[in-house]
Amino acid sequence: MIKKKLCLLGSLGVGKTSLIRKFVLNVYSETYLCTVGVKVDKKIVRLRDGEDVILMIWDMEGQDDFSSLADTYLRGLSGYLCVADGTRPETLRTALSICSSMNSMFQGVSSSLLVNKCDLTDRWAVTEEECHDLAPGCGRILRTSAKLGIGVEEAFVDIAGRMVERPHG
Amino acid sequence: MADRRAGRPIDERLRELDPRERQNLDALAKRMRGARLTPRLVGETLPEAVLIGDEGSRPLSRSMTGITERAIAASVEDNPEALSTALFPIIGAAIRKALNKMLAEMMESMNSGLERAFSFKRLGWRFESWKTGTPFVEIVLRETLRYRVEHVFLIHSKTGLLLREASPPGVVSPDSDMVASMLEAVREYIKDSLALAKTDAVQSIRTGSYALLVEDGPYASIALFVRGSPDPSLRNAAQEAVETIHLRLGSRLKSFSGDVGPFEEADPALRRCLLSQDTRAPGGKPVYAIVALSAILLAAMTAVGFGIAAARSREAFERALDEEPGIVLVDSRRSRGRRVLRVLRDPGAATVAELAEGMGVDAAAFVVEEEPYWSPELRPGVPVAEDAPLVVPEELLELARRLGGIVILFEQDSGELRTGQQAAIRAAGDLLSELIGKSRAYGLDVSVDIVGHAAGEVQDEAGLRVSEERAQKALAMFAELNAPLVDYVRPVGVGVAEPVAPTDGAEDERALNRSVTFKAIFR
Ligand SMILES: Nc1nc2c(ncn2[C@@H]2O[C@H](COP(=O)(O)OP(=O)(O)O)[C@@H](O)[C@H]2O)c(=O)[nH]1
Ligand SMILES: [Mg+2]
Repeated sequence: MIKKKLCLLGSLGVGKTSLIRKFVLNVYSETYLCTVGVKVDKKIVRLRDGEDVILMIWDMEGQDDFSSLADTYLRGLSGYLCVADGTRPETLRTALSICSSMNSMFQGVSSSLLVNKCDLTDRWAVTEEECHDLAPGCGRILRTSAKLGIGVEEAFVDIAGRMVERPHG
Repeated sequence: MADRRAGRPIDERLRELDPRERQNLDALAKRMRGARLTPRLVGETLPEAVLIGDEGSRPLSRSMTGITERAIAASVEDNPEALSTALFPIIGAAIRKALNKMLAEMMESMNSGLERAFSFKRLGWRFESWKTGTPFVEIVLRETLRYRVEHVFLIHSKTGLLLREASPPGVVSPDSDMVASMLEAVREYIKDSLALAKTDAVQSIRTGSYALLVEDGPYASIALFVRGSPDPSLRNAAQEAVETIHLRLGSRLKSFSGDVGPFEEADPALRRCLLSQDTRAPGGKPVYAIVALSAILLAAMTAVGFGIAAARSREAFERALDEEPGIVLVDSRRSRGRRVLRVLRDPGAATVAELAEGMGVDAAAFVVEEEPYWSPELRPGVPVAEDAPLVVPEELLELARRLGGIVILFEQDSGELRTGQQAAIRAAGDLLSELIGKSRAYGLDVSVDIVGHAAGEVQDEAGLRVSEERAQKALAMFAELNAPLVDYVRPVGVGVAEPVAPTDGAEDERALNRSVTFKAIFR
């Protein structure tokens, strides 16, 4: 059995905890659940080739100083999902800076950028082009909605597959 | 003349040299240039040079000590993990030993602390103590130190991923993956929030009736989930498991990238941590309760003193036993709820039962294992200890006689060995090593005097000197041939005092006295 550690990163309130809850428990609630410190969840993911992988998903509070996380919570991760809120452009910029510090601290780690809350079309504040211009450092870009369950399963299964393909040290 | 020549340029002077000499000089100069120390040359000769440098009176190793120490210090400063990772399997054992000692001492002081503690529950124990004659402290420890290890996790430190787990049969497992990862996360969180140093790991967490012990190794840690109050020995079990697992699976742990399959090999080590301390089957408790309740007032005032008295009287009794002439207390330990005293007792001494009665101690509270011995205290006529004549087994005496029969011959009036003596010296070495081995088996120490002799009829300065010289010479040869035995021999020169052959005999008899012999000394 293969086990992998996946971390979710991104500013406060972008929907990290909601995305995990949707993926793991298939529930969504409007009540804002402030994550204290760190929480770990588990989900067995069946990959496209039929192989199972146990994902240990680490959810942690948005923190700007990533170097301090590097040798604690982030140690030994195989991949991460960086989450931004499509209604708040500044969270996208934070996401990009997170990706670039992650790239300098970890090698051979898979990553995706999730632009979340895509159900809020009327308040959507980032354009497709903006994302693509900014994104090369973040790996794959996906639009998600934890509320409607759009792209959530896909995002997790995709990163799980890439983490297994790319076993790092 | 010399001055004039010195004033001229060197080339000019060189030209005056004989062509053959110039050739030699050129060759030398070339050799000197060629002999410049290249890194390759140093690399090739350094190991040998170090070996040579380590011989002689100022060994290189001595002068290297300071440098090495500073190098280690610098290495520790730069990256303590590298060194401690390398040393971990070795150091572990030493630390555990020290820790064991500390724990034992801690238990001692805890015992005395418990004696003074008091509660209703303990009242029952006091009654039991009184009823069964078991010291109160023993009961308290038995009742309070009960626990069961319900889960053992092997967790990969870097990823927080669960590698293996073990549980006793019948225990329902939680989602161990989650628990293990959360545990790592929580430990990181605590470390983080308390701003602890990188190396200060959280090693135990208590929640309600559960205790959690974590033992960290370089690449993986072991977590014990314990119901009840864990015994300090659990920590040792966890340490041992961590060490064993690192010794066997260290490199796989280091290169772990998600596949937990290969760690099945850790299971036996993990299962050894599934320890428990059973409580005694309950029974007759209501009686204790009633008695305890009705006795509260009285007991509240006397119980504390009673418990102390129980332990004290045992100690006092043991001390008295040991002090009794003809009795030696060898060991006092608990076994299956009973105090077992091992004593050596002279048949002429008082019996343990008599002594117990004399002190008002119930002899039934003890199991006495008695072994007879002859006590010197009761038999003043029998020599003891140092001045006792040593009884050397015949087997050893025979070897000593054979060794004593070897004679190493020397040239007349000199400290030079006659030719062909090596075989005899080697034979002496063989006999001595056999003698050392066998003596040890009898609990005896043996050493050998290499005794130098001189031929002559009267003891004089010259004779003594030559005999010493011979002993020294034989020792040198002996040491060369039997290096490991040098600590067992010493040279002595006795001159003509202990002649090998009659001093007034024929020349070939007297030649035997220009010699060295071997004398075994037993202790
Ligand atoms: N409309 C909408 N709201 C979301 C979505 N995901 C999260 N939220 C809301 O955003 C808030 C913050 O979400 P949370 O998961 O706690 O964010 P976190 O701080 O990144 O963990 C909550 O009130 C969620 O209900 C989404 O996809 N759509
Ligand atoms: Mg959250």
